[in-house]
Amino acid sequence: MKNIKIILLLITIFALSENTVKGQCLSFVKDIGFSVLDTSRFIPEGRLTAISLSEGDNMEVHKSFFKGKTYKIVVVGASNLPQADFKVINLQKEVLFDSSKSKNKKSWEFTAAKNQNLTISVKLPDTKDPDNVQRGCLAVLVGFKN
Amino acid sequence: MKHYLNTNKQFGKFILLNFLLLFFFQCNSSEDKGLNALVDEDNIIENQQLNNVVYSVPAPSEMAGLLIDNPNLVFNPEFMNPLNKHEQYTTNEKLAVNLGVYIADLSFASYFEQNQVSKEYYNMTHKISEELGISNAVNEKQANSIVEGKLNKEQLIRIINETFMNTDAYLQENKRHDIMAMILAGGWIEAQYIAVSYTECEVNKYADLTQSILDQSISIDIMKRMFDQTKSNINLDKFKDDFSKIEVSYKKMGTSPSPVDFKEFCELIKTIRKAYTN
Repeated sequence: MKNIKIILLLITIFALSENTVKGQCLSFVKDIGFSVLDTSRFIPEGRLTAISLSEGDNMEVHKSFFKGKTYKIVVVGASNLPQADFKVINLQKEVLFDSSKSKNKKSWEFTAAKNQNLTISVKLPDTKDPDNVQRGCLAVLVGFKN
Repeated sequence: MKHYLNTNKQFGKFILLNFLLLFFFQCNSSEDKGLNALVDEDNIIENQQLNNVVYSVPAPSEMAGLLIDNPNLVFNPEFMNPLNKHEQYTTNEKLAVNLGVYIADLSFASYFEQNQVSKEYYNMTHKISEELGISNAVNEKQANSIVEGKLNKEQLIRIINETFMNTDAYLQENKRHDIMAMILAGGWIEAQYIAVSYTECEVNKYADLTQSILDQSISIDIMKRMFDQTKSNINLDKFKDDFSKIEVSYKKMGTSPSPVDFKEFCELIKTIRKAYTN
């Protein structure tokens, strides 16, 4: 009986927190993500790529980029999360950008040299406190110059 | 025993309170009943992104920009899906696909700074969004600025994109990735339809436009993977089939299509568009 109570309680708490986190993702993207994107220079694309992740989790975004267009990719996480590392990788598995080797940890501006599908591979660092693993919204935003 | 029963009652109340809170949050997060009703009807489909892998298909406005934002073209409203066809769209599937179609049309009009047409199509996208239960995607202030008709194309596209992002967020929150998949399919096809209509199915009529049409071949793979990933009670196979046919046609055209192959591609797009909008 006690176990059932605990399970029910955990399910309820998880469902509540999950819904609240998702509800907060959009406003987080518009507040923080748009600021890093610099919407005076880049028009945000209409897609929202934001997932609730825990420390140590990975995320991959597959997207088409078109020759001659200038893009800015932004990766931002909720304030309770550490800064995520991200790489941009082409179909040949070549790394075109690695935030861990760049001064700019949150974004990458580039002009596409050709039409290609790229993978934006995001990794949240592992937790330093296994008893208190942080979870929150992580967003990948793409903007373009018109 | 009495103590045990009291503890149980208290715990029961606690759990009941939690579920009531959960219900409250779910209702508040969506501010409408329409889509919640849809979710119930469809027995609540879990449509999560598998293993945190996201296939980001271009939004209809992006498709329109890539294909139609071309200084050599003159605005032609005949290529747009007429607004009065909306009355024919009575199922969620038709509404979703044609929401994508109308958003592509709205973007098309906006790229040509056709403010009156943009206003009419914006109102239609608002109406269909409401019918799908996603009306809170619209920001009233931005809607009014479109209705007032004093915006340039960049301002219009910014508003369209932000509105679409709200829709995207709403559908993700409600686990309706299938509705978004159909909106994206409709938008992709409509932007291509407008582009091929300009070419009159002639490969050399607008060389740069033909190139833009060919460029879109890479997004087919992303589109197909998105459909593969999307679980739904609505049968999405026909959409997968449509994009498989388009993929075959792209492969046949290659990088330098013959007039015959380009015409075949053009007719395929027109056939699919007809099926979506009728």
